[in-house]
Amino acid sequence: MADGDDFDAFYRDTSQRLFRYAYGLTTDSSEAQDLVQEAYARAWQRWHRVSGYEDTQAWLRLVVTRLATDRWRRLGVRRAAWAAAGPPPPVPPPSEDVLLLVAGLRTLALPLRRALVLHYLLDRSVTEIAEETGASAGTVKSWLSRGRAALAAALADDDTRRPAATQGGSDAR
Amino acid sequence: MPADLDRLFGALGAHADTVPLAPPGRARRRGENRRRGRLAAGLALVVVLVGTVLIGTVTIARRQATPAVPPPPTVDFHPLVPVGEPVPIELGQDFAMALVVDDRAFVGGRSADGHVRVGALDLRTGRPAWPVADLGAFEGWHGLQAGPEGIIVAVPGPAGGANVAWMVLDPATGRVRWQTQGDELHHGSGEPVVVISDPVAAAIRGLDWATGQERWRVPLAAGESPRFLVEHGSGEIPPVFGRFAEAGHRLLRLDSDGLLRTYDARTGALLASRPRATAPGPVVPVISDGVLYSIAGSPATRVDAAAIAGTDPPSTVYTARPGEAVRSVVPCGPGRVCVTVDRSADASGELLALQARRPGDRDAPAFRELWRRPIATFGAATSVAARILTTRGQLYDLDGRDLSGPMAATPVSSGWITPGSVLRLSVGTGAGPEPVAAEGVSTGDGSTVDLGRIPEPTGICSWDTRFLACPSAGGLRAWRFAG
Repeated sequence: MADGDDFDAFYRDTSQRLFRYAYGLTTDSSEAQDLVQEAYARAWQRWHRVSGYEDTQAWLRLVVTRLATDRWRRLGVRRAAWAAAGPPPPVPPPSEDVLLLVAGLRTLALPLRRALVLHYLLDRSVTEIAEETGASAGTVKSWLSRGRAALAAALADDDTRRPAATQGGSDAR
Repeated sequence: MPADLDRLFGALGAHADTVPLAPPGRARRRGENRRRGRLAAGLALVVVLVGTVLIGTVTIARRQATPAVPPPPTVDFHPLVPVGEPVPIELGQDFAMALVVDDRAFVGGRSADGHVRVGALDLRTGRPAWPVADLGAFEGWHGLQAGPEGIIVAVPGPAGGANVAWMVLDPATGRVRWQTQGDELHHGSGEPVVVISDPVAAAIRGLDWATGQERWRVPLAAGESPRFLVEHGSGEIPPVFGRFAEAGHRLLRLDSDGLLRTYDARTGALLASRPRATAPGPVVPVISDGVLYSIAGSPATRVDAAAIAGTDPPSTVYTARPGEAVRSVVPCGPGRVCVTVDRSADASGELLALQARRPGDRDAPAFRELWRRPIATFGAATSVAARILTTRGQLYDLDGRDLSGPMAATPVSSGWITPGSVLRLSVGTGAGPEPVAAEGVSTGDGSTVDLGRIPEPTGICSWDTRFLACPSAGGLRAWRFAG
């Protein structure tokens, strides 16, 4: 079954990277696993066409992004998938850095989070992100700069050791 | 902060890589089960899936075929319809200034008696929003800024004090909430603080937007006079003059030695420092898409560029020819920068497009000139959606093709409405009470729609996607032209 072999090889080559994206987007390991499975399931449904795309991974990320915003679908399908296959195997606990970043990412609007994840987790350039999202390069850069600033603020808020009134670096009093 | 994010995302990625994923066979079975309709995938999911496939297909197809980007949609123009009666306010001294903000049009200026006055028109009802506010007598005025959250009026500071005094007005009543002084002010749209550079206090101060109470301060060395900048994304409409710009809670501070610092405007927390972002000395800075462009020299004969996130000193983008002075710089397309220059010999201007060299091509100059076009003198340029617009309404595509065509009238003011639409005001050869022609311009092909005529403005007009407002001899006037 050549199609199945092709698909399996593609899956093995790309699934970890797609999971990185899904995890960064959802900040939920279980959620991300389910979304990745669902995206590949849909790819398999139409493998003849999808396998011919210039950038199949971008298509998968698009599917993950769309599904990530559809909460009700996620909950219903996850229950059904777990019933069929059981819960995913346990994973090592995340480090403090991961927890910190995940908490910060959760405060961001989806476009900003998506841009940061594509840029930092998948090393996509501004031009590549613009092509993938259909936004202009200027908008992508705006997303990245606003996302960085919002993350910085969220991470700074998390530091309870700072003085309350005049927070900041060496400049502030 | 960029280094911290690299570390944090690196940790996130490493953690993600430890999560074992199901084998590919499970995804195939799930897909087959979906095909047989066993999973609960209701009608909404099918719609989502169809939408996803269509969007994904369109995205992929666009990359494969590399077709030309279709022009953005234009505003649905219609002839000007006056909104109510003019708000009677006499602003004959200095320049007057109008601002359209959501469902209000504000106007400010100085009257013949030297008093600074501010008026407001409710664009929904066509009636004054509140009685004209008299803010007192001043030697001059510096303009107003506004957003949905309020209005800031700038006047000369008191003798012996700072250069500027600012009054923050309640947009609902026109009453002064509080006032302060300084040299420079920053307020990002919707943000809870106003940041001022206060040489008297020798500090940058973050003041509560509602009350003026100080929230934080950063000391300034004696004689230091920083500039505040807002970064602009090249895919977006340039911030309307006077309207609070989206700043993402960031305060960008540029000192005369070229040091660029980024703060959280809400707390004064220092987020990043970037030395040598500009050459020392007087510059006109513009930040766009993570690059700080500076028009340098006196007279301005050079354009430099430095990456905000970088550490290298600025590189020169353009050096003016003899007899030229640089007036403006703006990114205008992938790897491109547009510059306008004034030529003293014949009092003319030119618009130039410059292309950055390809990465790895170190033997080539950093930027090479692509084309030049004559424009009205003292013209600046902005660029959105593969179009370049000068302040006098000349419209070009990225190849320098003039989409404006010959203009029967002399444009006096123009600006973006949306990425696909421009409003242009021109003075023609006709006389009468309404000598100024208003046109809607489609940036796709430069085609125009005649919107009608208005009285000659006595200052700066303003518009959004539906309304145009101008100060005039009879007061503040507004018209609806779309929607």
